[in-house]
Amino acid sequence: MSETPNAIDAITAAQPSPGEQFFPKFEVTPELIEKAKELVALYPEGKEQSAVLPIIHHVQEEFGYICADAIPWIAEMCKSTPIHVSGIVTFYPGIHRKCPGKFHFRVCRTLACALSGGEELMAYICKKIGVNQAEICDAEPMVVSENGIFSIEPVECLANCGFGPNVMVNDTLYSQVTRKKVDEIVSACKKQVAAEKKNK
Amino acid sequence: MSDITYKPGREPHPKETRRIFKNIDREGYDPSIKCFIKDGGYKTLKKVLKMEPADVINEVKKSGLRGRGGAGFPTGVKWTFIPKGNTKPVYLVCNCDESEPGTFKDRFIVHQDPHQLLEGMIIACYAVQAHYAVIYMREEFPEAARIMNNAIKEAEAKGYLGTDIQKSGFDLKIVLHRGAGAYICGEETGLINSIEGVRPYPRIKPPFFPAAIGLYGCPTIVNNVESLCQVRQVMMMGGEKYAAEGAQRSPGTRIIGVSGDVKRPGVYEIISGSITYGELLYDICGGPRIGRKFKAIIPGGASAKVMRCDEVLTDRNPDGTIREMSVFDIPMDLDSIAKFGSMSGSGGVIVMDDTRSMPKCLNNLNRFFAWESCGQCSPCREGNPWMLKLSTRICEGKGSPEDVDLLKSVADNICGRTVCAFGEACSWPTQAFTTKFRDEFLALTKPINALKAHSEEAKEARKFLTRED
Repeated sequence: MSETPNAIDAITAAQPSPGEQFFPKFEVTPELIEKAKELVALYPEGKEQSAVLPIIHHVQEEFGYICADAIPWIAEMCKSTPIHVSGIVTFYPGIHRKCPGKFHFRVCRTLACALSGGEELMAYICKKIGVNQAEICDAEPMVVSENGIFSIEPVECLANCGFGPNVMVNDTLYSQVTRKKVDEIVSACKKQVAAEKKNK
Repeated sequence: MSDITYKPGREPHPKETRRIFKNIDREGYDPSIKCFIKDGGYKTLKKVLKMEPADVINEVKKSGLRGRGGAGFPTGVKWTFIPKGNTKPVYLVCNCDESEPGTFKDRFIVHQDPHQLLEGMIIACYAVQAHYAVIYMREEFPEAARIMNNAIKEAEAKGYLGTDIQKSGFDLKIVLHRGAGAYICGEETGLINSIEGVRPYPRIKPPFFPAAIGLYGCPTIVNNVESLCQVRQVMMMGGEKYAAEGAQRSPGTRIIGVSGDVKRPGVYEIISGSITYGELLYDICGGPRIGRKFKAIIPGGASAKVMRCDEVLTDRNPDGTIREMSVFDIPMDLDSIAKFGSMSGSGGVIVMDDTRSMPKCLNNLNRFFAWESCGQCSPCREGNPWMLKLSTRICEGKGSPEDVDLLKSVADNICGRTVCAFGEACSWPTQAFTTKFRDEFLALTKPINALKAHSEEAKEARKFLTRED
């Protein structure tokens, strides 16, 4: 193998992330196949390919991100090809190819939120959860903290413009977020992680 | 209407008329089907199912209802574009990929009143005889996706969805499909490609409407969430009564989302054309924050052209005389603002006051468009990062006066040269900002910067030619 990977190798290359400790490793189970078949059945006959996004969403919910091993399996489930699924996975900003932290922050940076102080808030959250904001770039917008608990990503419009700045933590939207609110959210997250560790 | 109470602090303004938003922030209202039926829900559907589908289309045509997604195309007319003698299945897609910056109306409907949308969809499906419909919801609404899926199950259990709806012989299946955070999926053909499971590149026109060739190559109707709720409203009120209210060419109510520098930002439902931008911003939204003045308004989502608040506009009175007015005197309907070079689009009003730097605002929008360009057409894929680079350079004080003209010329050369309307959407803000606030851009530039190198490579190449100072 040559030293510089080609474009396809680069897409499927594993991107290690400290967030992986909080998610199970991708593995095909009968339940997963059952769920995929259920999703495929939602679409008209012969249009299995439509289910590619729903299956990707399901895999991402379960395992945190779309790893290289998942791509051929998704392709098989929706009667498509791995390269095709790779095309979808690389297109959408909402699909991760690297494992996010247990709590994934999405901070809106578009005009209305920026007018209400979204950019300053972004810098504050980065400092609070211990990631280096300078690492955020267009090619790799998501940065995971070293302990894997948090990850942050600037996103475009979350469609709640009147009540900025808006931050999404996993599936929950917080609007009119202040620094105090950030402190509350972060400490609640840390508490939850500590409690889970204890129970183990 | 007096029996409806709203949550404290969420009461509608007296100038509002709540129809679509009747149940938003209402005391004791939840998204369950029980609540909706108690409030008279699904009654309109029962009435519609006794009518002929063609009569339903005629009623919507008569109402003059225009789409609320941004383009403002008459909904009833769109429905008639399904080819005559069509033997293929017809599909209906609800566009809930609300991603235009400044627009945040649909999120309230899908989070708080999902059955209103479902009823509107079932009516629309019956009118165009579609037996399979998709709600395309953006990924950023995970909560709404759960609420909607639950609502679909409830409706199926009560016999409003599935086979033989309310013993009318009409079958319908509605599926919720989630996007994954791409702005381009709001473009109807990109959205269709996304549902088909291919990369969501917009399709080449013609055909201009997916009503001819759409999802899986079959006739497809794509309507916005608010439009479908308005369809329910039309069938409830009757087409003629609906058409009589509001602006003549865009009747009915409109939902306006106001964001940015006003005292009370939020979503407001008004009768189309009944108030002006001034009344909206000063009366309903409470005016600018203390000690500030309005400077600019983006009247219809991020891609609409910006309007200066101190600009003197001229309009012709009905008797032929010319009168002077400002942006605050323009009525809030779909067409009035188009006369002055902007558009009312999706009803997302972004307001900026005198503390804001216009080049910075434009830079923010350019970053949005550079990030969201799908990369199918070269002018847009290459032009947007170029515009971002130029506006960033100007904001950092490293630009030359020529850069402002270059910025505009890049925008001029994207506009109209792309497959979809994204080309226009991304170039209009730049064109308007650089024309209307040219002084502010020029103030940040220095002529000497034209001679300076901006990249490391250029610096290296020029190291013997220029002196660093």
